[in-house]
Amino acid sequence: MQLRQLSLRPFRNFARIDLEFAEGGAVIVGANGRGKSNILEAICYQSIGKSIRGARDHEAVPHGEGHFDIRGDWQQGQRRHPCRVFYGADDGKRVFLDEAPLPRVSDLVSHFQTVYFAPQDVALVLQFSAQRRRLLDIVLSQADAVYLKALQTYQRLLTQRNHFLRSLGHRGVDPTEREVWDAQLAKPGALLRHHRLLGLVEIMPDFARQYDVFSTGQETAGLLYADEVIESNPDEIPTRDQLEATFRQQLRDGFEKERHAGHTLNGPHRDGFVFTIDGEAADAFGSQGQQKSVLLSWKMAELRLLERRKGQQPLLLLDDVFSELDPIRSAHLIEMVEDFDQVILTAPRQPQESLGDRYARIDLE
Amino acid sequence: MGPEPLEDLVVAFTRLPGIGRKTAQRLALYVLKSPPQEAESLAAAVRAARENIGHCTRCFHLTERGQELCHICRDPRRDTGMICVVEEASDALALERSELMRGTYHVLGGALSPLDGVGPEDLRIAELVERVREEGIREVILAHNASAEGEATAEYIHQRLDGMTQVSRLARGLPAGSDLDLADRTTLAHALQGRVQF
Ligand SMILES: [Zn+2]
Repeated sequence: MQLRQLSLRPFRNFARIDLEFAEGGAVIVGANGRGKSNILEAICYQSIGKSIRGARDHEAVPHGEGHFDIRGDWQQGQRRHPCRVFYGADDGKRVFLDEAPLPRVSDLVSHFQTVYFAPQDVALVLQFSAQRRRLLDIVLSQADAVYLKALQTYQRLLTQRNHFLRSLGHRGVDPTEREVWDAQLAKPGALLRHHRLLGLVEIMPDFARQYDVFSTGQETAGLLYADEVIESNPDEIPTRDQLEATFRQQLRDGFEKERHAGHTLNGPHRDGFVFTIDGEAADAFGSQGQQKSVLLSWKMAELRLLERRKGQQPLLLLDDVFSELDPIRSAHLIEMVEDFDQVILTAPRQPQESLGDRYARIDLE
Repeated sequence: MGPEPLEDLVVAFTRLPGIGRKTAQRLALYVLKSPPQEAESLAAAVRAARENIGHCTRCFHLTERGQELCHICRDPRRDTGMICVVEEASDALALERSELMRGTYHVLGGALSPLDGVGPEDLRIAELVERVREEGIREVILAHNASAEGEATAEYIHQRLDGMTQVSRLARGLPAGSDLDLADRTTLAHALQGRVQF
């Protein structure tokens, strides 16, 4: 799967720009402040329907404008798929695929997969638990539309249950109502945990192998989910029914505490997800270099997961990697992505590294 | 931003469900362009409907003022052993349009939503339980919207009616997140025929 064209009218600093992408990919060259990262962000909008950097939609509307408009042309085999993501201050966000409007923005998510790596925000991404869960949510949503649907239902029900808990201050507990909110929350909650465990078990071997390359075998990277070490070949993963029963029990046990706190303290929205190096949490103990290797290894493993699940390779987006990675890691990276379908990368100047001729150069004025 | 009375009208239209600011503006400008008697009759129709339509004391569906029971509850050909529970009167209207329902209705007046301050006591659930107990109901069909709140409400009612009567729900032919009153007849027919016991 490849992105062949991108038009922004406008988006962030671009009033209007049209870009063509070669089959193998491109290196977008421009000094800092020219908006290289904004182009990658716009591409991600076509894939996940929102800002990969976690920005609000209105922040991507240029000053003095009332909207942004991103059009892409994607190639899957012999077929071309025009895609448009429009946001207007009055109309909200709307998405069109093959010229037809999609009922919901989230309907776009499983169509064009992207994997985005920006080493400059590695500390930010790894430092906070919520950001690490977001990594997981984005890749699993791209891998399976069911996951995204469950995530949205879960968030909706979580809000409802939290309001229910807070309403108990001024009314008695209706045990049936309590049962109902617990049961409703536990269904999508168990699905999220199940998909996460399956996804992590599948990602684990690629992740460990990639990290091994970057650290030249001196260290071992690992993953922890909800305090459990993720193994490459676990004896068994709990079934969704088991996870649902466990979650129901957690909600029952924690009820008095949650009632007091006024929100739900247990659940996939709070589960810890941690990267480790030789058993220690990478966010607390890792050096900058180690953290970059961790995130990059994770991204490579994401790519393999999406490739297997969707039967097509995602588009890989690398934001300013060569300024941020040392020559050895850069060289490893170039080698790794050699056989990828399409890679789009950005750089402040023509990279020193020999990239080969698969990357067409695009200069930002 | 136009003159103030125009702005007031636009805002009034925006409050209607499904009307965005752009549509509200178009409607307001249309009202202003149309002959005075047309605008007058629109205002009169709104007022008359508001004044002359009330709620059925049994099922809470819409009824003409002065009529205690709605036309469905008064209809002797209806199967009074069967109640179809809906969130809003508009859902009952959609099911009526489809001509598929032989039983009566029960309009809850919404769905459970603590976010909006709606608990079980804010819906006509106690009245439903009462009806099931008093009227010898064979079957209650839950025809809720396919939303998180609709599901929760259905589950709640199911638990409250447990052991009192047979409770079934519409087959999930409805696309997730969709509203009942927007579904077409074929979809409703499938949902109703394929209804499943809880
Ligand atoms: Zn009635």
